[in-house]
Amino acid sequence: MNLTKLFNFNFFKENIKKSKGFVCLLLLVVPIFTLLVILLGINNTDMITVIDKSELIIVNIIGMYIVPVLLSFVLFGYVYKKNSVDFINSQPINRKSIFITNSLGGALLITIMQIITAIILIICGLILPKIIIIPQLVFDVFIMMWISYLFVFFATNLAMTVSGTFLTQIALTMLILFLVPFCVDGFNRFSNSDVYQFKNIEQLGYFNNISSDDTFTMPYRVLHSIVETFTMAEFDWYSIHSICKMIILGIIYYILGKILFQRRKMENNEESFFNEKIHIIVKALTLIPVFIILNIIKAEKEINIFIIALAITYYFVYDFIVKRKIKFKNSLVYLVISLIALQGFCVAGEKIKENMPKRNIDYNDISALTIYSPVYDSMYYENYEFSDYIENKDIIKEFLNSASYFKNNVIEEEEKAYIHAVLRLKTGRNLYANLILLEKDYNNILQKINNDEQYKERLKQKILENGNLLVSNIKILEGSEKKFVFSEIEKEIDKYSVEDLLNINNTDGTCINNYYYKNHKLVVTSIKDKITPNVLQIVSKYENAEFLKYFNDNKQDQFWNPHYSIVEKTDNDRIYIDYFNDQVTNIIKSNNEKTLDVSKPYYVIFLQNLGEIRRYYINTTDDIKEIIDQEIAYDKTQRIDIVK
Amino acid sequence: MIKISNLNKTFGNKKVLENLNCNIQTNSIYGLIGANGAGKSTLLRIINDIFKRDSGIIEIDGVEIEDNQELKQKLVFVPDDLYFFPSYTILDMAKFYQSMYKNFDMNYLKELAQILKLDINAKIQDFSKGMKRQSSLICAIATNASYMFFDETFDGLDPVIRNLLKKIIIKQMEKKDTTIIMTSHNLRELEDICDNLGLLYKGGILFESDIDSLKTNMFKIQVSFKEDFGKEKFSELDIMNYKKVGSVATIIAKGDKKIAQENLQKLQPIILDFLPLTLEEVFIYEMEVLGYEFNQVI
Repeated sequence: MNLTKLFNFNFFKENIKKSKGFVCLLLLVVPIFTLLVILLGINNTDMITVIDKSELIIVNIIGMYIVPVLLSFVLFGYVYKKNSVDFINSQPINRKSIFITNSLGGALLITIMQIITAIILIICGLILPKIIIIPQLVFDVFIMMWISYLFVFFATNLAMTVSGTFLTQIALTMLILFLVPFCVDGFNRFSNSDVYQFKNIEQLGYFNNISSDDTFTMPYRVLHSIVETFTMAEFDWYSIHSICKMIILGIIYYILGKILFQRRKMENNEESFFNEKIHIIVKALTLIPVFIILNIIKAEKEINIFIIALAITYYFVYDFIVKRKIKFKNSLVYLVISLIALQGFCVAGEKIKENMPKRNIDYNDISALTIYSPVYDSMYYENYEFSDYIENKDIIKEFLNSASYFKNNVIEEEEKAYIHAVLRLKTGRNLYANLILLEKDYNNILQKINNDEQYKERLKQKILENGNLLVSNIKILEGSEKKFVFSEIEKEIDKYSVEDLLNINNTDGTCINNYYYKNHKLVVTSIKDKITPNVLQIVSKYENAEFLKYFNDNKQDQFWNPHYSIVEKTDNDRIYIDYFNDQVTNIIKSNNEKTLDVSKPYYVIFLQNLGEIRRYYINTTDDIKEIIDQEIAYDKTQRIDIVK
Repeated sequence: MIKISNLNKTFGNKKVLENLNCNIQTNSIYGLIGANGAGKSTLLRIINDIFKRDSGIIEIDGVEIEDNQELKQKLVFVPDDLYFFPSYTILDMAKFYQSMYKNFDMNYLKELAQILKLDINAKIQDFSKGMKRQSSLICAIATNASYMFFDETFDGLDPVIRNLLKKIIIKQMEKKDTTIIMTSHNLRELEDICDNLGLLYKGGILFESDIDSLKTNMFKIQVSFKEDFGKEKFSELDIMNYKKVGSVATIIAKGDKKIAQENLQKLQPIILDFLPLTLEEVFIYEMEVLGYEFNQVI
């Protein structure tokens, strides 16, 4: 096979040249946005930022939904124009070469764009002191997004080959990208809740396999996540299932696109579809989402009528926009046939669902369990990310038995324990549920978890993982200091129970954050500064230095803003301490700073110890020292308010 | 040589080309004429592998054209609907052609542009329709392809440029052994440049001949005798058309002009004139013989 015959570099070069810089501009969008996101991110804070994938989501939305689509239109668009078809196709390049050149050339440009983006990320991580970008994350972003962009690019190429106008090409691209996952997802939601039965489903919720979304292709997953939650915070990007699916489908789209391009009837350029039958199929396919929604929500009669009216309108609007003419009679006939066919599918789906064998969750199906409580102060409260999966078979078994209790029993409210649970199936899928357990059963399970040495060891490893060690995100610990802090923590946690380990990051104020990238996720473990006196000393040293820098830079005005006069107390006597008060607290505690320059003018310092507030007038650091000594005598200093 | 056998093409339900057969000799200028919608442009597009045929065989120099990238180096096509990359100059377009055609001659292009007084550094989009066509033609000619296809070649050109381009095309054909296939719906445009003509009608070649024999084989005679006479008097002639107004008969006849003249002289006419036929007239009478109205065909 002569590759130079298949990939015509001259043709590709001219393709880029004729775009008059648009292709280059398009390919710079993602790198420039990446740079902007990072620079704007550090501009908004004085803290050190550890970049996670979620920060780059806006970049990737642009990169996924806009860049490949526009690139495809730039490279292929003029091939399908009526006035350019003669010119392009009469050149000494055959159709196979045109398709391969444009497809592989576009893929090459996307690859270059991703390499530039990755280089920007790495350089930013290296030269910007307030930014940490973990190389493995860069690699994951590169791979995941690279494959996603290519996938969308090949899907758009396919849609362009089949259709002839901009509107239908966009509509077809969307159908190719979203229709199948939408239907599968809809069907899963429609039926899967019953596939895995759980006893107390009716009380609080059910196990569903929302996490199986990670098997869908990336364009659908991102869109789904945006629509469902309006936030990408919880969205877990990396999925090997998704990558494999996109690679396989991308190759299929590429091959299919090539075959159809070679067979394409160029005389139909700028006509939506050359065949009326394809119009009917496309129109019917675009009705599927409406039908799925209709059948899932099982809406009121009036709403159903409204949706059907909407579908009829849509049919005519489609004809008008795409075909520039409306044939009422034909449209109505096809609409009725489509509606009957789709309703038939839905009814068949219902029947399948009814006859689907109901499966109870079996102990043997589960590889790991995570439970966490929505109740404040619980051992697992908000510790889901940290708590990791429990693999102990006995605990899993006991959990399942406890959860089954409600099958035939009614219990009093005070005996209930509300929990969230995640079951990882051996198939790799996760099932999520809100459940009720008996309080005593729940405590029993917790007790067993507490005694699970294997689980405990995993938690310890999680804490001691050699990552980026940061003091309250203001200072990166390195070298011997990092080693020292780790050894201090290691010595300390050796004697910790599982509960202690789970609570290690429940800090009220300053802490040590360990950022590392594992299993394609950015993990943060926060370790309280008070874990050992030595660690506290190191934390105080850097926090005080930061505070003094701020104090000396801003002492004339800003420091005395109302921010410092707000004292909030919670019911259980916890004080929400803000950042700078923590600094002062540490200055008071460490008591080893002499450089505080507050000589002019006079200041009034309010110190609050729980309920008591004392006022001091100072103008030298010696005065502060004196006050500090007094406060330390009181102990329990929580907050200091300073007013000019 | 271009050999087309049993070529068929339909657009939807409409048959555009039907069992078309045609042979085009090398190193000649072949004119393809036909009314609008006869299928001229479609035929050129299929030969150039732009449109896919439904069935049939197209061979150029004995090689099948479909998906043949190497063979396409030998072909260049100037469509009726011209296309240039946005904001490109002639030089930019020439560079594109140069990158695609191995034998592209940049110096020749510059020479042609100079002859036609075209600024190679000006943007083509600012050119008039005629200048755009000239630009397109000189780019195509400079490729030195063996087979050049020009669709509605002289459309929008003024007579001076038209003649100039005809000279350039003839020179190209003579010097570089090029075969040129041109289409037009106007017979007069092709009359003085083509060696062969093919008439396309309802998807097939209705009539095909070389122009010289067409013109020399058919002649118009005006003849009159002292006595009254009828068509039967000219039984020696191969009459294609006979009209008598008063005592003067106008005859369109086929065959050897010299023999016809000798035979008629023997009849001692009082008037005997042999008049030249325009190509259009030749076509009109040929069509009549075939049972077609010329105005329907072209």
